[in-house]
Amino acid sequence: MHIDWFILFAQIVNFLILVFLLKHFLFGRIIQAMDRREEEIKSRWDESERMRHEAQQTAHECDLRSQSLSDQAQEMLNKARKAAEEEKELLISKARNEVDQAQHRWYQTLLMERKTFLESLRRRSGLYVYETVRKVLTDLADSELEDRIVQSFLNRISSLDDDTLRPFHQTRKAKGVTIVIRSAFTLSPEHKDRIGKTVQEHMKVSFPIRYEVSPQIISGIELMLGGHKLSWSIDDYLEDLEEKFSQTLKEELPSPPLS
Amino acid sequence: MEIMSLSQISPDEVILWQWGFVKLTITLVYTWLVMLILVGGSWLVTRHVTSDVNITRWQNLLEVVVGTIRNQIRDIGQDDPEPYIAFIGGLFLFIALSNVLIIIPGYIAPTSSLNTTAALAISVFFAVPLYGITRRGIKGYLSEYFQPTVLFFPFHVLGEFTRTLALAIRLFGNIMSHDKIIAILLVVTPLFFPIIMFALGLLIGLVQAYIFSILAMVYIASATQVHEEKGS
Repeated sequence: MHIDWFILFAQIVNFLILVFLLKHFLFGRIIQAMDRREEEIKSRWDESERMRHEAQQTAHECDLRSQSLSDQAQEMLNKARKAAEEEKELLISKARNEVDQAQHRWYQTLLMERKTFLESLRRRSGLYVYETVRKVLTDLADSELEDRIVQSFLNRISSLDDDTLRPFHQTRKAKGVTIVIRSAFTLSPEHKDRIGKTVQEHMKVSFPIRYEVSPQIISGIELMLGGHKLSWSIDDYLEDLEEKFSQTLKEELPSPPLS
Repeated sequence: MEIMSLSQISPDEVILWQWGFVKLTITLVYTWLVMLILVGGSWLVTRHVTSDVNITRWQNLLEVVVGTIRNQIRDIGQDDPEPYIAFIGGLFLFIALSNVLIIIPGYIAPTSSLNTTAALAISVFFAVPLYGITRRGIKGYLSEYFQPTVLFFPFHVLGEFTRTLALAIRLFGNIMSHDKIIAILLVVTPLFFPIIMFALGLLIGLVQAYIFSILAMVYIASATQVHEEKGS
């Protein structure tokens, strides 16, 4: 058991060669590979961190955008609801107006028809009454009916008060004025005489009198002087009759709408 | 000596070839064998080395070994293990493989030769000032020998030599004695007990490799670190 210097030296050299070779073939390469892998993993990690961060940011932006869109949608929905509500109100109001107008038109038409009907009724009633009365009176006595009409007219003149006569009095001084007596039938000379006398006596006017026959006057006599008129005819009664008809119809019809 | 051949006393006694003082002993042959396995294996594995995530099992094994050595050096206090890893790792791998191969019949560990262990210890002996000077400069390194006073210089020098001697003798003694124990046990209990001792021998061999390389690293660290502590 001794130290052999040659072997000692050889082993030192061997060891140094071994260290050199291991440094080259083992440690250098392995450490390099490990460091590269570490860097690669680190870079991948950094990359994944960056991407995760980006993804989070994107997700956050998406959330914000989604929230904004949702808000906008809600806002638009509210606007649309409001507009629809307004439109509905407008349409309802328009429809109501149209209904009111239609009702008004209907009512006007009804009134018109009623008026026409009343006029027609009056005319026919007058004619029927006149014809009936006339027939009755004619059957009774011709001259007597005319007599009665003339008498009634004269009674009317006689019974006029001063207020009614005043307009006639005012024409007293006028010149060239003619008193026009219109009757539904031809007056006899006796009737004319009586009328003339009564007019002069009660109206205190002495204008010439012109007699005319007018079939439009239903069974009556009219006196025209300077734009003023005095009459008695069956029209008065007919008008009264018409008034009563009209009153009866009004009671049956509903009152017109306010709009 | 019938129970023990010459080669079991020391491999240096088995001389295969000699020419003057130049001789080829079994120690050198097995040293070359260990070197061939280490270097050849490294070359085979690392010629296709890749930094990809998918690596071969052999590369994974080497990475684990290298990573462990690196972490050990870092644990001892070297922030940057790169300058030392080849030397310390070389020591560990050489000693460990030399000791582990004893399971092969006919193999004799080169580390059971005092010449080999002395060569390794001398390498450490020179590596310590080399690393110290590289790291701290000649003045910085030599000033360490005069701490705390000039009187301590001889003790420092003595310490350097004795610890080198201790390194060499410790490894040699352990491995050589293990061989001897196996040889004696084969005579006493030839069947099962030597197998257990072989297993123990493997453990001892690895522990000794660890101790040797760790001590070498501690010596190097003590030569390189003081400056940093003072500077900090």
